Amino acid sequence: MRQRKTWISLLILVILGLHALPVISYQAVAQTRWPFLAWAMYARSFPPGPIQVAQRRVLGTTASGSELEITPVLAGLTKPAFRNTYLVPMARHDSAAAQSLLKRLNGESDSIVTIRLEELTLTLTDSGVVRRDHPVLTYHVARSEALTQ
Amino acid sequence: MRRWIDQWNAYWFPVTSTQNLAGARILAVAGQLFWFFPSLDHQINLAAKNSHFVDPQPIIRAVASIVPRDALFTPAGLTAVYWVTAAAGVLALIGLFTRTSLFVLALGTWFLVGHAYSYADVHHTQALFAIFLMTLPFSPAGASYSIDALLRRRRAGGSSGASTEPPRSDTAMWPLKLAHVLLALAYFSTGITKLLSGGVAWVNGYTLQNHIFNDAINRDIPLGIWLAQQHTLCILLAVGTILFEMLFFVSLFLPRIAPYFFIGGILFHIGLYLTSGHPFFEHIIMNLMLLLFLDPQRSLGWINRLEQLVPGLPARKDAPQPS
Repeated sequence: MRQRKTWISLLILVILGLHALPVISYQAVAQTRWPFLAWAMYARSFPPGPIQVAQRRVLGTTASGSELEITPVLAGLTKPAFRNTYLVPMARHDSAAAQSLLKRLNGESDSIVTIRLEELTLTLTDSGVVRRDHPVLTYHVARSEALTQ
Repeated sequence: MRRWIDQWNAYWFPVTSTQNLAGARILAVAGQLFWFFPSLDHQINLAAKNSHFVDPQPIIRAVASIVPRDALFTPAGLTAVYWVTAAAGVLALIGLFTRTSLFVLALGTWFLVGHAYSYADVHHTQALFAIFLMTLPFSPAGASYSIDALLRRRRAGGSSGASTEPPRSDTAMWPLKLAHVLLALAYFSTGITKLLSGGVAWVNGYTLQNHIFNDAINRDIPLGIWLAQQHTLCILLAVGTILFEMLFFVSLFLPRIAPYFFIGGILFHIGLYLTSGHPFFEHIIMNLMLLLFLDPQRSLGWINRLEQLVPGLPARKDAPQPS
């Protein structure tokens, strides 16, 4: 009986101790110690100023001319991973991210030759939510890749 | 040293009925099975559309070092793991081969959640609950309210007048107490990070307006969009959030007020879900579990009071005596 309690006590100490690991070796959002995580959530503060949020979506055109929305599910990622890996860089005119997304998607037979990023900003004002559309950004599949299709 | 060990044992290993832990087992396993079981489609989609793990979690690194990725992380392999885990969950719920089924359920859950979080996206919702699930196989979680207990009583000769008193154990509370400590640790860590990183500006109202607006727009939550426009209310909610997160640990030292923190925790997570879409369902279950089962005397008292409301029911032998 005493031995069992000793083992359980060690287990409790290990579980509690393992929670120090992600704090000591802080990995920001790319944590690889699940289920022992750093619990820094929504810690950022915002000063008084415009309260804005960006909404983005990606549309693709295939070689045969059909259109489809490129969703996180289609890309095989979760929403946050899709946003951080592709949407945000593409919104910053990062064509490498666009090429990487095209490469990821073009395992299918009807390959995507063009992707368009649509972005809008929603701002909170005293009179409600104001919408502002941004110019559409278009990315074409890289020539070397296009030639291999 | 002796005194510390005695205090440690008194905290973690009080002799109690095993009914509370069994109640917690049923609530936790039912929640896992019917409310927040990992999605098989999501698992298969991730495995099929990614040729490699991006940030593999420890359990996935361990499994992948033994079993090749293209052998287990396939639609067939993941489907098998999914159904074995679900079957173990059903057995754990009814309490048949309880320790083994709880272990398989916990391990399967760790595997499936760890796999989903191995592709550049990690969330906090399941972490503490998964740890709690993994503690249950190492406790007498099946000693009451289980088919195992029923079979044990029969084998011991229940019909020949064996004791009908619920079994008692000194290892029936530590999983619940650990869940309580882990919740306190997580809440405090979240609260202190807000103050250290965001500073006092975290309660200026604009911060919460920004966070809520962002989540509510992206998740299409009208209540959140409305709340994001209420500056004064956001100041109050920000102060309330910091106070709740920073002070939850007080419930460890003042058990009499602990139920108010657990009720606060349930409302806190329901509020987060309704206004921002944060699906901390596991934390709702953990707070509810602690509210109902952490203090055996309190829950027995509630049951006793309920029974007194129903005329004609005999008084329970284990009803708490007035102090």
